[in-house]
Amino acid sequence: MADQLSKGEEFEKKAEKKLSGWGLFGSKYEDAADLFDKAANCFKLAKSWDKAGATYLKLASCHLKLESKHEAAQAHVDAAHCYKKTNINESVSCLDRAVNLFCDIGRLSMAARYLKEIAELYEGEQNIEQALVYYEKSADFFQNEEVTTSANQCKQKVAQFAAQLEQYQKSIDIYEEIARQSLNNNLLKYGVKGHLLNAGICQLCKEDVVAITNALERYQELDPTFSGTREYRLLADIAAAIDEEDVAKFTDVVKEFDSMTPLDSWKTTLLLRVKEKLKAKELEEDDLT
Amino acid sequence: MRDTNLELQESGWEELRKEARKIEGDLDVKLSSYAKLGARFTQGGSGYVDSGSPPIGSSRSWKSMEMEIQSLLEKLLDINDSMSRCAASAGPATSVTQKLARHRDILHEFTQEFRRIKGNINSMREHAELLSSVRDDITDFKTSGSMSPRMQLLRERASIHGNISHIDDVISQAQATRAVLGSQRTLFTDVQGKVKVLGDKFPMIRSLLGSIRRRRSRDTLILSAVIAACTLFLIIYWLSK
Repeated sequence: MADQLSKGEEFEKKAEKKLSGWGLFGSKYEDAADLFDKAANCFKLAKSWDKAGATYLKLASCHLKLESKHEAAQAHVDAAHCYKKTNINESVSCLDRAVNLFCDIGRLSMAARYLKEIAELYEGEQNIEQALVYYEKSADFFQNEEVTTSANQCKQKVAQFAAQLEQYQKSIDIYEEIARQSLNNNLLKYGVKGHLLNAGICQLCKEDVVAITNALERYQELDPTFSGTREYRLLADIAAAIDEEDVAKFTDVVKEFDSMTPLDSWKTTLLLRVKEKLKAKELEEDDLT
Repeated sequence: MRDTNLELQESGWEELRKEARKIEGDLDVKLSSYAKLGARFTQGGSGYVDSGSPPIGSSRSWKSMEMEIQSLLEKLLDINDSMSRCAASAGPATSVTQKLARHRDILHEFTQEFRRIKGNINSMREHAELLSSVRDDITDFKTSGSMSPRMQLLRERASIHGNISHIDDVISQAQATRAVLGSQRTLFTDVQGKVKVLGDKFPMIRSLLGSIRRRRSRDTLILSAVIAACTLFLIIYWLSK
């Protein structure tokens, strides 16, 4: 532990000396890069994550001087992995620089992968706005590289966070698009009713009964078997309860569905929003009478 | 003067560390109470019959405990920052750095656990609030109706749908893996082609490398000769002067 730390500092001092000296024989940046790599490795073994991250950033600077962008991007990724344990903001900025370098050299699939990693970091920090932005970028890059499965995974995350941020139309469009794609795949078409249920719940949050009815008709045309499912029944009954402004009926319908299929926290949150709005409307009606 | 200064810093460090350890103990106790409160809220919320009084009482104590834990976490963060500044000013010592890293890890762990429990309690509270109703006879109706074959068939179908969702997840992972393996195979095919071309050109490359090595050694020899000549000239000039 301690000797690894001192060894790392020794390597770092040697590298700094190489950088400040002349490059008479050979390239000083290559030698400094080698020494910085050894130093960072020693710091990692000593569990000094901040020092390891800073040393990897110096290594990235050396590689940029050598016009080697792939190595510089990889060094930034290593720095981000070190900073992930101590400083999330620094980790995100390192990954951002790595993504820019990968875009410069045309490695879009690796850029997409690290954009997804940034989004996961923000998700862990519960910063939903930034997570949504980066998941969207990642989905775009995966789509550009024709990696449809990963793109759809990122899109579902985008839809989930968009609904939490009350951007319901974006969420609806994404879920419907994923449902449409899943219908063409024999393996995935049995999950279509889940996607349509999510889209329907987002429609309910918009409080537009005509739009809900049109959406339900569109879903029936999209998937003829959807009209026989309990998900369709739930959405239709909730739409009727909203039309009649009956909170008790709403609660009964949701409770019956929940007794069969427990709702996850995302659906619970959105349906609670619908219920709160419905309750407020009912109170208004009572006050008027 | 220097010894007194170092003594003051050391005593400050020990005092800060003692306070940090006390707050960590308090946080541990409060987090376990918070988790138990969450579990009790789960048991209270699962039964629809007595959904009136438990949310209000447990909600109040839950809210106050949450704020208490939050303030303790902020205080611990401040103390960690103070310890970090104290360690930086005191100079590099390995044991101090390790202890500081240990305290930082503990703070991070507590923050993660608090966030997770808070998310769980929020989720359960929303669930209970969504499903609570003023009519209790519906519950009796559901209880009496749960033994009918129709309900059991519906429950079975819900389980099947859950399985379908899990299978979808596995299938999407398999598809992603297959896509990555396909691109990898394409890459390896390209690499194989390039390696074959490289093998064809290898004698040319070897002669090229030989030329490079010869040129490099010739450059080194020329440079050495020039330096030696200059040195000799300087020595002769100095001796003759």
